[in-house]
Amino acid sequence: MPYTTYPSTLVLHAIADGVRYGFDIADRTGLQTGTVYPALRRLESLGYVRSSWESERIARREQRPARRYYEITRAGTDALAAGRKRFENLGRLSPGQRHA
Amino acid sequence: MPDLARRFVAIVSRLAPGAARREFRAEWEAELATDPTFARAAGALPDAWFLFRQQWSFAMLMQDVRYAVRLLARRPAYTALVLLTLALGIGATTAVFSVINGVLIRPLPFPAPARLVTVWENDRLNLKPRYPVAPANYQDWRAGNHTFEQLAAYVDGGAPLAAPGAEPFHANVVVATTNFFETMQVAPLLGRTFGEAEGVPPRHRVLVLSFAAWQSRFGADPGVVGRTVQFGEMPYQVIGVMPRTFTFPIRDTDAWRPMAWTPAMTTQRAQHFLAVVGRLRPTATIDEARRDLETIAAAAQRAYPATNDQRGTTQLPLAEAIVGDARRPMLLLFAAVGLLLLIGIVNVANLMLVESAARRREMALRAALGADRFRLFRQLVVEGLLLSVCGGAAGLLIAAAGTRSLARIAADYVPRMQDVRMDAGVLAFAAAVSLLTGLCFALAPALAACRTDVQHDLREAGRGTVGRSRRLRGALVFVELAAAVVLVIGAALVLKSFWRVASVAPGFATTGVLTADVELSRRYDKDAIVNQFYVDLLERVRALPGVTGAGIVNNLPVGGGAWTAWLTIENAPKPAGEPPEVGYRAASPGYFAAMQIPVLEGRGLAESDQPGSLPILVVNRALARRFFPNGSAVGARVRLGPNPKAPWLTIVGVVGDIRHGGPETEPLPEAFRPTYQDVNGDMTLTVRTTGAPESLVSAVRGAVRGIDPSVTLWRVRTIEDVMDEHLAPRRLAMLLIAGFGALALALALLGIYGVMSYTVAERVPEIGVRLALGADPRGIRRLIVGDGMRLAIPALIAGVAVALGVTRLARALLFDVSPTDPATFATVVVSIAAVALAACYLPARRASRVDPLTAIRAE
Repeated sequence: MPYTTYPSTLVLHAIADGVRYGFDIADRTGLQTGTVYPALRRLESLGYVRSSWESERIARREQRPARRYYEITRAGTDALAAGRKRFENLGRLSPGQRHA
Repeated sequence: MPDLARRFVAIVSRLAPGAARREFRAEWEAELATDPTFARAAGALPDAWFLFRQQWSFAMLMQDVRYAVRLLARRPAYTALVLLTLALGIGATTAVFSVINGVLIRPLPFPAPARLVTVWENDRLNLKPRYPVAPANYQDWRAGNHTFEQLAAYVDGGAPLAAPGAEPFHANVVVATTNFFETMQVAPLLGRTFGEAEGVPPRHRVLVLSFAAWQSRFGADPGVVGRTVQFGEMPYQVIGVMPRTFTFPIRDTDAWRPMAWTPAMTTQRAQHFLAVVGRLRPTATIDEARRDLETIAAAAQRAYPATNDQRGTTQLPLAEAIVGDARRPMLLLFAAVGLLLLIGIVNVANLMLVESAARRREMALRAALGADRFRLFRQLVVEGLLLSVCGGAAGLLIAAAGTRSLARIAADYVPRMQDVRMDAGVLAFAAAVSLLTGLCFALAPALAACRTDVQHDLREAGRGTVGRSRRLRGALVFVELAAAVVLVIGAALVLKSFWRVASVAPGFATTGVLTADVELSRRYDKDAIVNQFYVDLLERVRALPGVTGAGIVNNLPVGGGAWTAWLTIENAPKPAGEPPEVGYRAASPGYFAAMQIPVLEGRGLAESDQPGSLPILVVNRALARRFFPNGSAVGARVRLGPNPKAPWLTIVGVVGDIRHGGPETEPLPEAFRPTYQDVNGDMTLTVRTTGAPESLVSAVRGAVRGIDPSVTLWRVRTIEDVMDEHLAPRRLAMLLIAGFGALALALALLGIYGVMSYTVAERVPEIGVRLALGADPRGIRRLIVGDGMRLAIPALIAGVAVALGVTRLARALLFDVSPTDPATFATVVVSIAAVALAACYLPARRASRVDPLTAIRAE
């Protein structure tokens, strides 16, 4: 199984927790966008997450550009379990904690 | 601010591959919609960079490589042609570089070689800046300097050397001061080097053997240290063996022995025979050393005005002194081979352009299916690199073979050739050249592919080149042909020079003569004994079957040394300054006949010219013309040398001029003394034969052994060998440059032929229409040939213009040919124009034979 870095694991963790698009993930993990996006690309190319664009209709209704939503795959769930074991303090930085 | 952030995202999105760019921007627009700060937007840069890098992932690269291999395998002729061109270009360049690396770049094989400096006397009176050093001057320098750690002196010489019970052989033995090895800082392989006490007689009778002599003459016996050998008939003790890499100062040194520093040496300032090498102190520079030694020399000028008037010093780093005149020709050769490589690259680029034009449809299809331009660009670059790496690998094989043969052929006359080999530096050079080459020739078609207009190409792929690509190919052919013209003109000049040198009549026989150096032993210490030996030897040699004449001379033409002496003419007004200097040799009766030197006036040397008879002299025509312009030289009396009490010598004959310094030198005024009146110990035997001179070798050796087995015969060569050795450097340079020139020309012609063929193939429909409308096939031929020549003629003109500028740099390789020799230029230009015409004519003929119907139907 390919090695996932600490930030990638954090990102994966956030997505598994239901945080779904780039801005939110950066906000919840506390990572820079410059870290989050490359991590997302890498996770997607590894098949750990998949993405889809929200429909233009919703975006228009909310008067903002369409978002790209990410969700974790089965392989991603396995990778996250392995990552958790490797980075045991992951729990402490789980989504939302920064704002708590 | 939001605008700035948005613009930033728009700019960095250019980094992302085309296929992902739209999504990338959309995602970041969404990001900015939520938080439009620049700090947020900054994250787009690493994101785009990630996407950019992802394209170069190893897996994707391998995919490209596999694709390229498949494509190349499908076009074996094209691939083979490209690989061959690259292998030759890279191979030749690498071989020449490895020679340059060994000779010019690699440091000398001594510790801290940059601190080694050669020192000469600078004879400002006679404008001889590199004059051998007198022993007392050397001693002053050594004792008085503050800049050298060590300053050693040496002189090379030789004598017969024999292990107990073995035949003596001529050994090249360097006589050096005892600090010689300390100066060079090289430790012996076995035993030891000189101790300081061994500079004082009689303790100086010790020898340090060279690795080569130890191997070949002493059977690599480790017990040789401590053994006693006969050297010049005196017993010497072998005290050490040097490692294989140490051969300084000459490549075929057999041994070194300490210089016996006698009291007479400490006052000797008039005889100059020492070579001096020093090791600078770590903190000293060569300029400081110069000032240091100049101060000492200036003091000597004041103290000893009779011998040291205007004598300064000259310093040169040892590496420069060793390489000497080899630098220029070598760099020229490198330039020539570089030009050849350039032509090769251009040729391959051209081939690739033609190929890529043919592949436009494929490219267009891939673009239509979603490959972005960068991907296509990368595909072509990978293909180019793959070709260049394979070509480079093949080139390395060629370079290895070329380097080996170059090192072997040139070892005798190019310094440091033994240091030439393929090392890491050479490999790195080959790798760099291969990669650069690949990038260079892949770039043109890759850039062309980037400009692909998908719709146009998909529709019109059958229809020939876009104008821009055709112009690019024209430009490449222009560069290639111009470069070839420069190279071929250079090669032709060098070729003509060689032909000029080889066809000069040197004034003596260049065939049918065997020569051998005779080395007498110490027993021959009286003139009468020496004379008797040579009388006996010549008698025996002349009696051998097939011998038509034999004689001896002290210095053979071309290969031998040259002595000069002052000439004073009886009853002539005394010249204002020093008397004129003329060449001076000693020879026996029969020498002129054996060497076929014609006697023009009076007589040659005769058996009757004995020590007791009238002291005589034979002069050459140059001497007679210069000093006796109004009458005959025969009968006049002259004196040779500085001694005003020496007897007058009567000129009895005039012989033809001899180019003693080789065919490219002018014959100098010269005098011959009969060897029986002017006795020299070691002489060179010359034997004229009717058959092959080599067949006489053992008979001549037998004759020598029959008289005295202690006399050694060495450097046994035919006169052809002597001449050959002299011409060899010039021949090698000529062969290399001519080879490069021929290759360059072949490649350039291939280039122009390829372009014309392709153009014709492209224009078949058009030509068909023309023919169908009644065009004359001759007119079609003219049209195509005219197109080709419009490409060739400007290239020829540019090539000639460049050649006019650069051939003067090759003056060192030329003889009796001006660097801008009009005949050579004209011949080359006309010949290249003619072959270029032929290269255009073949496709033109094909064009004129197009069947109009087939051509139009093909539309």
